[in-house]
Amino acid sequence: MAKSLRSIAFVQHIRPRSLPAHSLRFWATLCMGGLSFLAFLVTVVTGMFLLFHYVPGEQAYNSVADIVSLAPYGSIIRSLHYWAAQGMVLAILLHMARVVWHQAYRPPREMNWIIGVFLFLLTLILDFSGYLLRGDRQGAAAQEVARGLLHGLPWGSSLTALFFGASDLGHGSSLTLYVWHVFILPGTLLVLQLWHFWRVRRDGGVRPL
Amino acid sequence: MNLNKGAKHYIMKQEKLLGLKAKMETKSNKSEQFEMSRRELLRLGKAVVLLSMASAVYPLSHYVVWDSHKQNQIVVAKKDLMLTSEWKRVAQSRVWLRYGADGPEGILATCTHLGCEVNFEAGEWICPCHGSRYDQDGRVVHGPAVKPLRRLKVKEIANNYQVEINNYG
Repeated sequence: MAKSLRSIAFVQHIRPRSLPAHSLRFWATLCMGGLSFLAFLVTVVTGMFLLFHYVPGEQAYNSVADIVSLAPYGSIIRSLHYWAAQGMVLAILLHMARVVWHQAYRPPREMNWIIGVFLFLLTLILDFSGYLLRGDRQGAAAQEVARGLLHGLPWGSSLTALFFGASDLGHGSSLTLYVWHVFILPGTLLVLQLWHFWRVRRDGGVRPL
Repeated sequence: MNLNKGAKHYIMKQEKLLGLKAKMETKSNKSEQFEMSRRELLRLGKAVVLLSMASAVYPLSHYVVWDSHKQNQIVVAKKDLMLTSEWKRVAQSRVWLRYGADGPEGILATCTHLGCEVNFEAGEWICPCHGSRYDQDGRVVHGPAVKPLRRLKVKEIANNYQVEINNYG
């Protein structure tokens, strides 16, 4: 069983028998890409548990307050979700800085750099949508601003309806935004991540400076 | 001895490893007491990770089955709190009661801005934290709060008032 599983090309790819030694060196990567993926996994797992008690829309603020102050272990789950999300942005920034420093965006790795930039942008949008979903006054004000910005674009009203829901109900959180935050954005992020990791090896792994 | 090829090979490997170990020990006897191969260390790490994940099962199951819609109730004996048309506080709580046009009414003295306890002074609810003010019925008179104070359902049951405090506002 184990042997047949190991012979599958995909598993071989994730856990290869051999690796170039230099790509395992700490200073080659600073572990920042791996750390941002770890942070992503933490947000996915903790987010999955937040789904049980979070209510999007009008009740958002109260349900978050209940998760934090009433639900057993709710505050640690929410804190982990929040801090992992912040840590993910930080780790990605450091990861990008490392890639720039090593000039690893140059051919043949230019495609992976582009995927990475999209990953970064998606993470920022995901982070921002989470900030709105808290449903507090700050979030409501931020949604007003974001709606205004999107509205200025071509097809602005359709875009705002697509991301935030047709009308601003004034409590920051909305069902539409929730669907983006828990399903569409993380799903897209995961697919792009897998592509990103696959390209790392395809482009010849990580080389030291 | 009648060993097959694989077993012989295994034994040879072990002997080789032991020989290697013996060589290392003669070079430095720092790690004589505690020796662990890289693979063993990794296995230990894996076990620690799995154990810590298993230890999260119990708290997480508590979290998942927690009932957010459960209604908490406060029961006040009528003789302990004579209700009038003015708000009166239920002892040791943020719940205040009065007798309105349609029977008993309840209000929660928690500011809807950031949750400080509001005081009822001279016909107004005043928040000591950021100066929000509400009128008698809990409507906002002055910010930063935007939502009215939370009203609570009160039922008269026999000689008691029963106040329902839903966790959700």
